[in-house]
Amino acid sequence: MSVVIETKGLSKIYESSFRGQDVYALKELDLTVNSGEIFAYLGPNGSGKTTTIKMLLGLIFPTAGSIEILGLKDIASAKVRQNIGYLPEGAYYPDFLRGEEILRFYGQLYGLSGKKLETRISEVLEEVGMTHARRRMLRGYSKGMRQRIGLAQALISDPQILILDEPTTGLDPIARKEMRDILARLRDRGKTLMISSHELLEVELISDRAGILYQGEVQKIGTIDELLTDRDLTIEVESASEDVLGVLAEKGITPEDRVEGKLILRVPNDMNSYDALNICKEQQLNLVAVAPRRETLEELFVRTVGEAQNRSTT
Amino acid sequence: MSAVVDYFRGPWHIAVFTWREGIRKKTLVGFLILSLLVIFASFFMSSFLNQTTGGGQVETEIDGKLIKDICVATISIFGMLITIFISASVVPNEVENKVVYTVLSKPVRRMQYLLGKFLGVQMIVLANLALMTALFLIAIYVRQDEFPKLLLWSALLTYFEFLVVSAFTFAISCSATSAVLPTIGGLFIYLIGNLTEYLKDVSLRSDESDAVHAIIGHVAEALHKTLPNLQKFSIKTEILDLNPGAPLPAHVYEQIPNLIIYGLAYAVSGYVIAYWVFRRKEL
Amino acid sequence: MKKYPNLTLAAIVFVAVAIGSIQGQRLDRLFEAEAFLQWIAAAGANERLDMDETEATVDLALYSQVADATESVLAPQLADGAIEEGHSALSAALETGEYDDEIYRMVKSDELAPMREDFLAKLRGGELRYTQNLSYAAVMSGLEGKGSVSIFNLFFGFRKVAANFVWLQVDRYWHAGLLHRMIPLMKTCVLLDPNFVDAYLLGAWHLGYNVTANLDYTPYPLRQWSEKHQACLGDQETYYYIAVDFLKDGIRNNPRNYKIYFDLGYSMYREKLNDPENAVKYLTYAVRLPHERWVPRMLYISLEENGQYDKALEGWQENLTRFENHEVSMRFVQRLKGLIAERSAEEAKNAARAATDPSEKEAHMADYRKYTAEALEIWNGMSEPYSEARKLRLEAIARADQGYYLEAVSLLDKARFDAGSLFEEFSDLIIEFKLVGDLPLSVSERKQMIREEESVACQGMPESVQQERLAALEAERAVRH
Repeated sequence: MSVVIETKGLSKIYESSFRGQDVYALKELDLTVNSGEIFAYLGPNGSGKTTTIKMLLGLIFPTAGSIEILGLKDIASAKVRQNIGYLPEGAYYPDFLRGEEILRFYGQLYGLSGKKLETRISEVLEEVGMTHARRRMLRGYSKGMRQRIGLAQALISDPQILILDEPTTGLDPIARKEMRDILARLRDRGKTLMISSHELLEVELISDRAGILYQGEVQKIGTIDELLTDRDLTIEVESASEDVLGVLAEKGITPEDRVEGKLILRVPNDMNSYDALNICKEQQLNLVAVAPRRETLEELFVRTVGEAQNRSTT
Repeated sequence: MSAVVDYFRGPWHIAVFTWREGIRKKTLVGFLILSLLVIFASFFMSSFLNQTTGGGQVETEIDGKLIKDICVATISIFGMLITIFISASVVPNEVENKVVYTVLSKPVRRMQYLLGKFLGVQMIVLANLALMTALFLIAIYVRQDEFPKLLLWSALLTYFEFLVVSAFTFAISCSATSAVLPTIGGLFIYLIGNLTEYLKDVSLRSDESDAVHAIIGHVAEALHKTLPNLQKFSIKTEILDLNPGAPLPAHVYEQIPNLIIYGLAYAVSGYVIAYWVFRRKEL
Repeated sequence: MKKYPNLTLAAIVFVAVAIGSIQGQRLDRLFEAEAFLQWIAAAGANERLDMDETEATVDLALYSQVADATESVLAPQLADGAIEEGHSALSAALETGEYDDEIYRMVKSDELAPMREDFLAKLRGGELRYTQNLSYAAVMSGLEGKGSVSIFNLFFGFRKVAANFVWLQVDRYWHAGLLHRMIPLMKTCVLLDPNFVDAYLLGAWHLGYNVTANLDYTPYPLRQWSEKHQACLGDQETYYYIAVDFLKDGIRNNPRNYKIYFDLGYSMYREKLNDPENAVKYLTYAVRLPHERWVPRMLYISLEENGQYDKALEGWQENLTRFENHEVSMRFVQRLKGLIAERSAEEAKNAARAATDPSEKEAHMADYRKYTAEALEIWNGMSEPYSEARKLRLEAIARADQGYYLEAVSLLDKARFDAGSLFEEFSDLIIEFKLVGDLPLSVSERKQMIREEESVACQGMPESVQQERLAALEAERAVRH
């Protein structure tokens, strides 16, 4: 597994015209994306995700630090550009063109032409499932279709790396599912994908690694398995009195949620599950269900951001 | 050689794309229709003249002249508006709708991108000028039954006037985030370009014995010498008064190429400023 | 580029602006040369207009310098007779476009540089008059003392459109009958667009024909002498000459447009001012420029009226070679041949009268008879009111020679009503016969005599001119007796 994107100490400061009002969009970011993985780049709005991506693409310029893509420092070089496909967030494509015309234009920018270009257009349209609409004007496209054409233009040069900014935002559930399938397929074909998103559920389903960014700093980074280490048990019971809850709390079992009159109890990590069940039995609680619980990316995200917020306020 | 061809391939495709998008702009089509209306209206304008040739003593071509003058003015005004509008909007619009991100993340240098955009703008401006001129030619031909070839020279010079304004407007647009400011800027460039001549008056009127006056005078003189002066293109209207049957007089022959070089020099400086601004622009 | 991008870009911008700036100044020089050329063209046209130029002495002095400097180069190139007497080769060369490139070359040459500088200095000093036509603000700017904002900067170069709208207003005033308001607006109009040829033509037509339509004849004693036009101006004539001046302004600004020459010669001098000499002069200029086919015909008619039968005949014959079987031309050729024969007969008769030697007298009389027979034959060959009237004239003269004046007068009286175009000529002849034959004059004939006598003087006419005119009238009357 080789590294395809690597940043070292990457910083971006937006200078304000007022002294001391400079905004740190990105603080000494060290980031690596490995070949063949889907890397989820997460963070709330304004955390610096898009800034990072734009710097990787040479759309804006770093204040400090370095970027290496495919082992090359010159990220504007043709070799790097040939191998990066980019889907910006909410990009607009001219209405008056047909699907295939858009792709022809972008293909030509890669120096493709003639038969080679036409085959490539057919291939990518097939890949994103848009062959049926290739001759239709973009103005007749749905949002999902547009997004897929956007993905197709990013794929036209058959790049090694795909950088996708919020690829599923604004799509309906079916379109989202389709998009997710396409992305997974691309990964399976050996592409490296860097997806920035706040649709955490989507990302969790397909990504291999994730980085959580907040206020220009990476808070957590690792594989999904590494990140989501918190595993515990929940026990669903009919109901419990305040006294019973008090006893349970002493043992470490805490109520987590109430769903339709039923109570969900959370068993701490270090407690044996049989012990927990015994405690419930002692308190004569009516068991409804016992389930393993794994922290979601969403919870991790909220927790991480919350922690970071606390740190910055204190 | 092939490297050169390769270098210009990208800009060419961008130019074609810009052109295809530009000619569909509603504002542009609106301006064009408006100018065509004025050209047609000039036909009726002459009916305000209750032809006073009762005795048949004087044979007039006043309505022909009226049409000619109004058409030339219309081409100048609407052509300039379209030029400013298009030059001001192509880059900011692409930044706004993020097409620029998809293009610049391809193997396209910023220089190539700008070159393509600028070429596209020029194609639109030229096509629009050609269209208006063609209609005007037909109008004149129908009326006077004579092919007005001088009009073609006039249109050529008009284009180079547009080119200067276009290049500087384009430069402003490269530093702006929306098309509003550069459009206003373009109008200002057109105004200032036409008023450059007054700077000479300012410098001539300044009183050398007064230090402040003297400084203002010198600044005005320097500006007069360096700023583009669009009034120099006024031979585009003077040329129409020449005898259409005769070859161009020697002095006009000498002025035309010099005027073209003049226009090109300022257009190049405008374009280079545009690139200078855009080269390290944070998109 | 790679190492110092900002510096490189700044350098490129600097170089481009520098080229633009240098080019701009180069263009200024070219515009100045063109302005000089245009002014020379205006002054050259002016030389042909024979105007009183007390207001333009600076222009004339400078122009004569330029004319002298170019004389040696241009004079040998021009055809014999192209240069009119007292005129410069430059003026003749400027008439058509043939020598323009040569003149432009000289205008730009070092040889004329001091005059060019002088021209620019005087132009900017506001001393020159023939500068209405200069098109470039760059050349005009810096007019000292005269309010330096050039009119060419107005309306953003759309002053021609403005001129059109001013003209619409002129037209409106005409229809509203506000004639006095038209004149200043017409002048504004051509100031905005000195190449607005139709404004000159229509303006002059309004002045010469419409404004004067309601004005009465002014008797000579009430007229005012005009030094500028060397004429006695009554109410109508004042406007005729405003029109003449307006057209002459037009010629200076558009020296290559035949229409203005034509209107000046035909519509004003021939039709209104009864001045065939000037009519011939301006129609001749018109014919030398690209023109419509009817222009030369008007020249030939004016030549005939001016008594230049030979030239008129030549013209009509040339017209016939160009348009074969052109009926009008054929008629005029015959007519002029008849007139030439008549004139020769007249000259022979006068010579016979003056001769003292009887044999010589007889020889002249033989000539007289020969030419008369020739004329009669020509008139017989035609059959139209004109030729019939001319036949009656010949008969009348024969009767008068025999002393039958009353018969001669009655023949002419019939003839002048048969052919309207000969009315004036025959009326004069009737008076002549009546005076010689001692017949009583009619009331209108008496009136005509009085007017003739009056016309030698008007208010403010210098004594010398008065004497001159009186002498001319007396000489004319002496011939009749």
